Amino acid sequence: MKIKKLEYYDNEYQWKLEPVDFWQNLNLFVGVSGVGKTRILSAINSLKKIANGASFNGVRWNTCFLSNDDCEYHWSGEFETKKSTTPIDSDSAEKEPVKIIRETLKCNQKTIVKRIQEEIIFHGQKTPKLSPYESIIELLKQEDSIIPVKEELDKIILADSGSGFDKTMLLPVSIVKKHENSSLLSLKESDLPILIKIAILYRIFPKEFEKIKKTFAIIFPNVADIKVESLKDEDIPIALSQLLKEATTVSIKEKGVQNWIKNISSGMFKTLMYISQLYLSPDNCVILIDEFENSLGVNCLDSVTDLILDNQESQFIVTSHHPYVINNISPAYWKIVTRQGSLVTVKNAKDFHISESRQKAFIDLINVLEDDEYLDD
Amino acid sequence: MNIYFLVEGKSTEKKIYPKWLEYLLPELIRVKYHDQVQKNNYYLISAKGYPAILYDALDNAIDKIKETNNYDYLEQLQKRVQDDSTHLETFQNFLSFCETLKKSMVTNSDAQEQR
Repeated sequence: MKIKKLEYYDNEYQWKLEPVDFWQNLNLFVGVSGVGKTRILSAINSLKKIANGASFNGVRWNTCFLSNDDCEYHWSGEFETKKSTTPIDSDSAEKEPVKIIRETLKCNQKTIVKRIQEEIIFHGQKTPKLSPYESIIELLKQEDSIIPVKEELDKIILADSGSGFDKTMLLPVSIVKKHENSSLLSLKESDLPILIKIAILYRIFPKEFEKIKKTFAIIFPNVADIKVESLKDEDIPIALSQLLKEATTVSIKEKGVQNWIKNISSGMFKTLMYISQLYLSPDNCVILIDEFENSLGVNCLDSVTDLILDNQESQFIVTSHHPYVINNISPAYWKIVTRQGSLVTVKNAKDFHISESRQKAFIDLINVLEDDEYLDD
Repeated sequence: MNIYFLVEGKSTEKKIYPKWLEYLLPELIRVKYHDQVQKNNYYLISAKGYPAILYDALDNAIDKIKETNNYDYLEQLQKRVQDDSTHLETFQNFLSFCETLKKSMVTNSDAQEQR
């Protein structure tokens, strides 16, 4: 999947994203803090949620994306806006669902489904009455013309920013058994936590695991080997032995050090998880990474950036405000985010006279964003 | 005459310089982007402090000045000295000081070689 365009409006919070065009490979969203970069990622992620039946109060969306077989889909819709009835201090996290008041899905300019209020016309035929709270993609997901659309939208992946990685995880034997006879593709497409995916990769696809190890060794030249194995009995306190019987953890071996290091540093661990996430995501997906620099040390950024640029099949939508990241990624990939009140606009570097080959362009960026407020063209 | 100003300060210089220039050189008009200079324009950018001014802003400035190929402050200055040297006494003095310094350096190194 490649997202070509997105326009988004949230009536409840009066937040408006002007139409954004995306690059096919890497999109680096840059801008000052608080401008709405992360909000854009969550807007993209909510497309996947809407396609899976979620409802968002007052949201209006319009997107265009390319499927793997080059079909161009246009999908737009609007939820009604209900005044929030839940008191602010209410503990109830459950929100009342809201109705979709209009929705259209087109493939190569040909309308597949159109919904106005409660009436849904699918391939020219009116459908029986269906739930007004869920999108047509969720409602008609069994239909041949909708299956590929749902598959594509499910390829939007919000990468873990690193804080949520657990160093030890239970890997039930049943999961390993299940993947023993399946392909690498099905492992990539499964929703297992990343550490479990690596543990399975380590056991069942050692050649693929070697690729991750190689990249990791480029970043940390001292590392000679990595293993992802179950904890041994002697490492577990007796009281926890039953609980941690199937626990898996990562150990590394460093050059010149005889013993395996079981308690690897969190920086190294995050980097390993990150690289693995890039290798083990489904093919042709849209990967959203918020604050690229937060999860990685400066020594890792170049290698991971190369990994992203080499992976032409997937689309990466990344946010950053770190000078190192911004200086080291060509302005050709930039998407500059600015905000006036609640109106968010995204422009290319060229619109701010920053050429693709500009050296150390972070300085241009911060000056330009500052000048934008008081200097007119 | 077009000038590219690179200032170190994070905020003050960027505010004060344009105000000074309004009085000192009212004919010099500020442009928003470096590549918009035409005739009697200036562009001003802040390096946002040290060490960015050395490690980032200089590379960035050289890149942009080369690309634009329209910043001609020094050439204009030299031309003015040639055309009318009377009102640029300080600059003349500075040039002759440089010449003297250069001569004395050459003489010293000659003397060292002879020894």
